[in-house]
Amino acid sequence: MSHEMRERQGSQSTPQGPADSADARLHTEEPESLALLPGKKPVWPIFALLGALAAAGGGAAYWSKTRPEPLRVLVAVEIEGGYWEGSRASAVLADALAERLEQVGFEPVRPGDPETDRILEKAATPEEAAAKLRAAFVISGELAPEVIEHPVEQGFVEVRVASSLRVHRLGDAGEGASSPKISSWAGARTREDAMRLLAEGLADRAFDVAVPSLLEHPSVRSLLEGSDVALLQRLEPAKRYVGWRATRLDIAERAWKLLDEEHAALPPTPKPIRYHGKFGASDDLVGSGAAGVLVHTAQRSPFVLPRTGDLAWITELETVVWRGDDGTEKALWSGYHLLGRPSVAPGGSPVVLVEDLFGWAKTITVIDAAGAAKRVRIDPERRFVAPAVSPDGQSVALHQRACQSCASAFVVVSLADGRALHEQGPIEPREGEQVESYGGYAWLDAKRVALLVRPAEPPLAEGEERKPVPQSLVVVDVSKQPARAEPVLLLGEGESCDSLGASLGGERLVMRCDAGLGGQLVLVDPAKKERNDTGIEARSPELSPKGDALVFEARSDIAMYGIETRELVPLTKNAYVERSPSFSHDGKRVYFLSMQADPNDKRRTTTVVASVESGL
Amino acid sequence: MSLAPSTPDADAIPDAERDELFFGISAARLRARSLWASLLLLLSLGLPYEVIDGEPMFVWQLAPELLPAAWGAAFALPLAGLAILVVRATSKRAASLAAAVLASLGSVAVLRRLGGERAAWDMVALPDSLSDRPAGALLALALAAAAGHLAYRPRTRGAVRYVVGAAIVSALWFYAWPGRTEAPVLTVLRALAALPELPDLRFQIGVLLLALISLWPLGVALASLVVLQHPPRKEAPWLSLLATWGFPGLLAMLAYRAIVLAQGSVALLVFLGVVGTVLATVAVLSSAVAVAVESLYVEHGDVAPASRRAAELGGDALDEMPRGPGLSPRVSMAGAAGATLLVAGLQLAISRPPDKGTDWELRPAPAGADELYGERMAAWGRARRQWDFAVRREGGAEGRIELKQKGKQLALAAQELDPGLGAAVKALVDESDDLDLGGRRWSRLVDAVNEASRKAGLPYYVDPTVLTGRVEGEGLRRHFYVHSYRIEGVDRYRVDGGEFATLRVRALGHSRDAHARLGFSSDASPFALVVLEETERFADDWLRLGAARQCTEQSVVESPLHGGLDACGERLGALVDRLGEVGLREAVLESVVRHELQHQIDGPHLRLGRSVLTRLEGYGPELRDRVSREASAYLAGMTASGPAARISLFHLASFVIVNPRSTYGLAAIVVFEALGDREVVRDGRLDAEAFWKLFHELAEESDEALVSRAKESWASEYGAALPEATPFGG
Repeated sequence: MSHEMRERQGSQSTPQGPADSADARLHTEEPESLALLPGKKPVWPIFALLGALAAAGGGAAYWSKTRPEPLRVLVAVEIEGGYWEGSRASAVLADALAERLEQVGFEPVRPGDPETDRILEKAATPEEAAAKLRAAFVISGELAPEVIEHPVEQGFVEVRVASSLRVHRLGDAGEGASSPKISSWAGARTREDAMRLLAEGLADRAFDVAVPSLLEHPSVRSLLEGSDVALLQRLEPAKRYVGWRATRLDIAERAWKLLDEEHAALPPTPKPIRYHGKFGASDDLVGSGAAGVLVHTAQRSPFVLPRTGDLAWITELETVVWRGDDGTEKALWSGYHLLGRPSVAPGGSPVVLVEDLFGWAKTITVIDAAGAAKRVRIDPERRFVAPAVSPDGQSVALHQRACQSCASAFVVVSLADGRALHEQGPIEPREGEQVESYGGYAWLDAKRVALLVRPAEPPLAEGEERKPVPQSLVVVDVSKQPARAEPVLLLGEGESCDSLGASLGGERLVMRCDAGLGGQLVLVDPAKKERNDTGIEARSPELSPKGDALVFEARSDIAMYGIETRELVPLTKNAYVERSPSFSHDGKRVYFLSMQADPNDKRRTTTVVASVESGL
Repeated sequence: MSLAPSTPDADAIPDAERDELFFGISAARLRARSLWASLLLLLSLGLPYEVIDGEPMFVWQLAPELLPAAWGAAFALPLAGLAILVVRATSKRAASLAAAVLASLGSVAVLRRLGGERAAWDMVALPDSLSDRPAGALLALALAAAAGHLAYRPRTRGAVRYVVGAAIVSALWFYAWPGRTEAPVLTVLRALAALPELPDLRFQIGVLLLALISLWPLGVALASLVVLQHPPRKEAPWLSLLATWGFPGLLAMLAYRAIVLAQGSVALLVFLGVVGTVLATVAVLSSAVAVAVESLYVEHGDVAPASRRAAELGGDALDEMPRGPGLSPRVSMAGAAGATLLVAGLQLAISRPPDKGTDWELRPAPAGADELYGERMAAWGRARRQWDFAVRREGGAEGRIELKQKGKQLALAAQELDPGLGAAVKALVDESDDLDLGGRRWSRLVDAVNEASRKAGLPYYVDPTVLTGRVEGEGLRRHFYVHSYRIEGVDRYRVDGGEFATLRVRALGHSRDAHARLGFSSDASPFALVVLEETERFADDWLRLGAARQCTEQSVVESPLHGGLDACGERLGALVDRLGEVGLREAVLESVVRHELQHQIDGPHLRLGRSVLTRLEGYGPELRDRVSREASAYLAGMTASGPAARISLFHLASFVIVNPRSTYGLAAIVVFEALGDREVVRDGRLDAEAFWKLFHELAEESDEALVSRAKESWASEYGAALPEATPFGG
């Protein structure tokens, strides 16, 4: 520590008083040499430098605190509002998506943080909120689910959504934004529960489409190509996920494509096969008409589970569509699940199907040519099976069971009002009761339906041996009240017949009968009540509209038999399984299902509708 | 002519000018020291307030948790630094600056003292670094340093005796005053007495070094007596150098050792900061004392050119020196003293301990109240915890919606019950929607709900609990709980002119969440709680054990204690047979009520018991404090009645049997040793035979004798008669 002193010499003057002396010293005493006094050093350069440094530091701190974080993502997907507005569905989606994004290295803005909610509430757009939250990316969208309240006792709500998300970086101004499609559906007792399930289903899908978009953005690519080890390490899970996902999906697509190519490469003998779909689908053949082929299908797309990397399936709602020859589709119906195969009237309309309302009820639904659906029966208890619509489209014949394991009754229902036109058999069966049972049925005309019936076994006397009761083929005329069943044929003892089919005019019937030596095709003239055993061992027979030929499935191939010519014509001959043949409405083509094990899912079979020329 | 800072020859200059010259030197030293010292004090704001599990906590992080009185204590040093800096820039006289320094540092001592005392009653007490009382030691060092400077100056030699005297008194006050624990000098002497017992030389050297550091201020203060007889010959005498730089130097040596041994940590940085603060305080204080004294002796010292800021300005500025001499020393001293008194007065006003007691008048519970307090409140609390947890992990959007819904339902239900309650509950729901919610704020919000309940006469109490835990990857996390109780009775007491209260309550709802206690009391709360179903369950446990003639059904840690369990079981069985179920429940209730009441009476400033000081020497201060308080409460509980004393014996014995090293085990040992006035722990191990012998002796005593013994033991332990609690108010 230094002390600055001034040396005074010869200062002997006597002060006159304390104050005077003080002032006197102020004004009269001067150092002899001012040069000895240390000069006043200017301090402003130091302060200027400090000020400049402070300004620079402050500016850097401000920039650092306000610039967007490169990996921060704001999830602001609205489902009937945003989570900041109280939408639970939006909250469930945001939470689930944020969790998954964080697992792969991104930094999601915490949904549920009061500060985040306040900013979102006040912001006019998600982008404005993202800027304040310093999020570089925004995943947004306004999903407006369709809500269907099913007329089920105690209520049931189905919700469906098909929309698109928007994944973009702030400042991209439309370029670089991606709009991946996203869809899901769910059902529950209450609307709130249904929305929650919907949101849970959407989360994986949203992740599946959002992460590739994020990683493909140039800003993220530049980070991945950069040298910031910490960032690279952080994004490694995302990179791995996307890479694995792309590989896995590519493998799946190529496997199906290979099937398509294999089938396309089949030699055109005995007849060239046209495929009305791509392998990978689960198509079922309903019928055909002028609009093309009527297909019952469920869109199924693969996606990779974020946590395990396994291939999983997103199954969309089941649909019934008309598929034209050019592949265009016109949707007729979509829903949770159909029981069995729908039925279509010969003219292509109406279509009758049995809906399963999420297990809570079964319905008989009729869809007209315009696509309007009407549920003519809704039953929480009974099950409706194998509908067959009448040629005039006014009624439908089907099995009806009181429970899943109960015996069937045979009913004919009016499609106008759901009224039962005819009921036969165990409507309310009692346990242990012996009842009548039914095989197939087929309409002969608008009013008459042929039916295979096995009467109830008579009560046995003591000591009496049980004998099989033979089946009989009857024709029920539903125009009469009560409907009358006219016997046509009594089938042989021990003979069991099914797969009853009729020609369009009802002149001829075909069925498959098994007397213990394998099922053989039998033709029946219902007017003459005569049967003609063809001797052909086959399955799933169908008569041509004119009744002059029948197609059937024989040892996994399709063949045709000319009834007058007695000529057997193989229509397909290959290593694949082909089933369920049916003639087109004009008889010129034969449609069938081509089946194959799904190379991507061992538990599943992929089926595609195919057809060949009949030659008729 | 040389301008080198050589010490002037005092005889070569006329007296007045010489004095002014020396004053100028002192003034310049003060100005220089006040600059760097004030900066160091300001920088102390950047030091961690405390370090918890290696994680530094800064004052701004904990500011919302602190009481206003504690704010003063926490910010005292930086504020003092700022004040010194401002006065340095604006004062015209060194005496004014000296007065400001004395006032600032004096205020720091007052703020810390009072603020620390008040904060001890609250949820967040001040850390030891702030609440311990180093003022006496630092003052002694500063006075000794000032004495050295003043002794060199002929004009001020007359004042040196007073300054030296003050240094010694300050040192003695620091070392001899016991406070809550024992006098520091005794602690040091005890450590020195244990030297021969230490394992080897290294430990002995270590203890000697620590003793040197601990006794340094006393040594320096005593050494300052030398200057009375032998005035120094230099302006910067050895005494002043030792006093100013010696202590921080020794402390810095410890820090250096830690650095060399690669023991660096946040705690080390804090330690270095403390060293800097100590240096700043002693240096500037010693200069201020020297200037203040000198200004009283040197008539024109402050207006002499050598002392004024002209020495810094120089050159042409000599003609621009401000007119007016500034405040005279006496005026500035008086002003500084007044400012200090004002600060002290303000701090005193806001540092009053919390009010105790309550006038809660209960009316019948209205319909829906049980559901509100029991179910809805608990559901909302759960929703808040779940949201808090979820939002820090994957996302809490759904949790927040659920929380808002539950909060809305809770607020609506409360509004229906009482508008005031509704407003308080709404405030609780709205303001706790904050991820950075502090424990104190949480308590304040819940207290407002309780106050609204009290005003409405609703017989319900909500207890706020904050549990702090460390979560991997997230650091410290607080978990907030509310536990609702229905009040069945309010017991009011007068104790030494003050009012206290206990509430007898029953828990609502099903969740206990670590709240399953017989009773609980917090220093910040105006009353203690006694949980009736817990006391009843506890009594039933004793009934069952007594019927089975068992002293405990838990594992016994110390196997030598096994031998006495049977006899203990027999005694318990006899007691249970005598009291019966009703009598036993009554005894348990009485002892718990008196126990919890004693916690309220003791508060955080209960001095450590005599046995605690000797038995737990070497243990941490928190544990010693807790054991002391529990021992006090258990002894007080024994005075509630004869049966209460008897059942307490078994209760305390169970702590010793199960785990004598736990907090309650140690408290129980302290109680037994106090009751029996003899030791049961020898050479660090529990002497089972001695313990059982003492136990049975006490159990043989009559009810009155046992109660009386408990009272006497309390008095002996804590140096005063056990406060009598007189019920009042019906």
